Amino acid sequence: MKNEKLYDAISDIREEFIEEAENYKFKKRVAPRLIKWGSMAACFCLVVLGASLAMSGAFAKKGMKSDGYNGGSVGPTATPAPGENLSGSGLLTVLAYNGALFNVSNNLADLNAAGIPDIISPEDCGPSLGNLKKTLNGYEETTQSTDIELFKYAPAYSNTAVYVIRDGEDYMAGLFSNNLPVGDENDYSPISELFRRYGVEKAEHISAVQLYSGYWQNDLPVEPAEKNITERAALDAFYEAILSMEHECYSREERLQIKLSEDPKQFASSTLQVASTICITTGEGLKFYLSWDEDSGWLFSTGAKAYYRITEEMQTWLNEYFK
Amino acid sequence: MEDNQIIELYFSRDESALTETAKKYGTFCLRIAMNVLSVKEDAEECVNDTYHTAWNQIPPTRPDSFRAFLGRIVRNCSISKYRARHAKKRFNGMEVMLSELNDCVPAQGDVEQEIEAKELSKYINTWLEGLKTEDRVLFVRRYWYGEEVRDLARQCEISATQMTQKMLRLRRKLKAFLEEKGVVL
Repeated sequence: MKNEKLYDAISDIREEFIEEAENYKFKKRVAPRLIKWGSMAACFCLVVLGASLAMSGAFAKKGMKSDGYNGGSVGPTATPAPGENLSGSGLLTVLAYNGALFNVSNNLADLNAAGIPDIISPEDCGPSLGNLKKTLNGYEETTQSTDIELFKYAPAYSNTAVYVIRDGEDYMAGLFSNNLPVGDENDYSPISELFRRYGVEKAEHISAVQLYSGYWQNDLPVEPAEKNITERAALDAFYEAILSMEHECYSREERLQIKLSEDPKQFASSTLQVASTICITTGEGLKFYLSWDEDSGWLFSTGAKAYYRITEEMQTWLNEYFK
Repeated sequence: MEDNQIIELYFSRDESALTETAKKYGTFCLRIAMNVLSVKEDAEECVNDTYHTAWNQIPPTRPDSFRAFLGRIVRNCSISKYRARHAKKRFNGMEVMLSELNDCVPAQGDVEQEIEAKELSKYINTWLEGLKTEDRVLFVRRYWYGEEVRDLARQCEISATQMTQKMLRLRRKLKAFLEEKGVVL
């Protein structure tokens, strides 16, 4: 339906227009009778003023100039240019690429949280993947020639988790943050897909699995890891356990239904009771995170936008190494 | 509580984020959903879904305008519900709004390629930018917030008929603008 398409497009109008409409106060209209009497009063005042000026000879004074007042016109309100939408913690904007959303950042803490050791420079650029353009929401692919370029990240092998963006002379990292730019509840990644993004396709590609208390998916953990597993046999078993969860992948809604059916009294919302975060470090040094709801037995990835139910095999591994 | 404090609660996965959101923006969200759906139970359901969606999207999203962010989710949720239950013909607000938007649909032009919704938003933004503030506010309140014509008339202290004419002129202006840009829906 064409009108529905218009409705959808109107949904995405600029935030400043939405705020403006909410806060705007319409001017009070003057009632016609007041206008009539007001006009008469104004005319009377003008007549009196004119007469008094004429009598004082003010008009006779030569060289009288207009005050040059232009009616107080004000230029158009400055609107931020696309991509200028700076927010905290070094996050500049986002990149929508290849069906996924990436946080664009050159902040040291963000880079370190993803396992990228230093600032992004031209040396980090792998093969060029084409040009980007700025949009209201951030960066997007374009076939036009622009001064913004997307590169593979050269120092570490990563399928799609990290990119380098050059905007003019600025170099930034595009860090995988979400599987879909526009949220579709039922579109989410199986757990192997999440690992593949970071270049993990077999157990040897993992160099460490750490346990932190609390929720850390979007920040660099500041506390030392409670557990740090680096033994090869344990990592092999971990990857095996991860693969055993391949079919235990659910959307938020599906997970809610499962929890409701299992314990309808206890559960009224879909929120996770995250007690710990599991950090996976790849052989190339990249890091990504899984939240762990120990009580109800779920893992969650913000990036993959998916909930994974812990299998018996994974529970055994967690009991052995993280408890 | 300030918006950025509420957003921080989302980032620290503190469930009081939902309570604070409901406290501050519950009425705002319900108003939009009611404007579109006209059925209280459905509108309330939409508002609850909005909180859950916000919980899922923050993090990683850090909205610049929390109000607009929530409003957008409510709108999307409302249209989904409308589409799902369209056959029941219960949604007067949406029916009227969509039939009015037919006035903005440009006539078929030379370029036969359909425009994407995202691209269309850009054109609408440009058009809105060129309007007088009052006209822009009226258009956004009617077609983004879904406020009724008679309520807008009351706010502007003009008759409902005058407001209807005003809105019609705005829709025709948008249609002319889209046609001028060669937009095909």
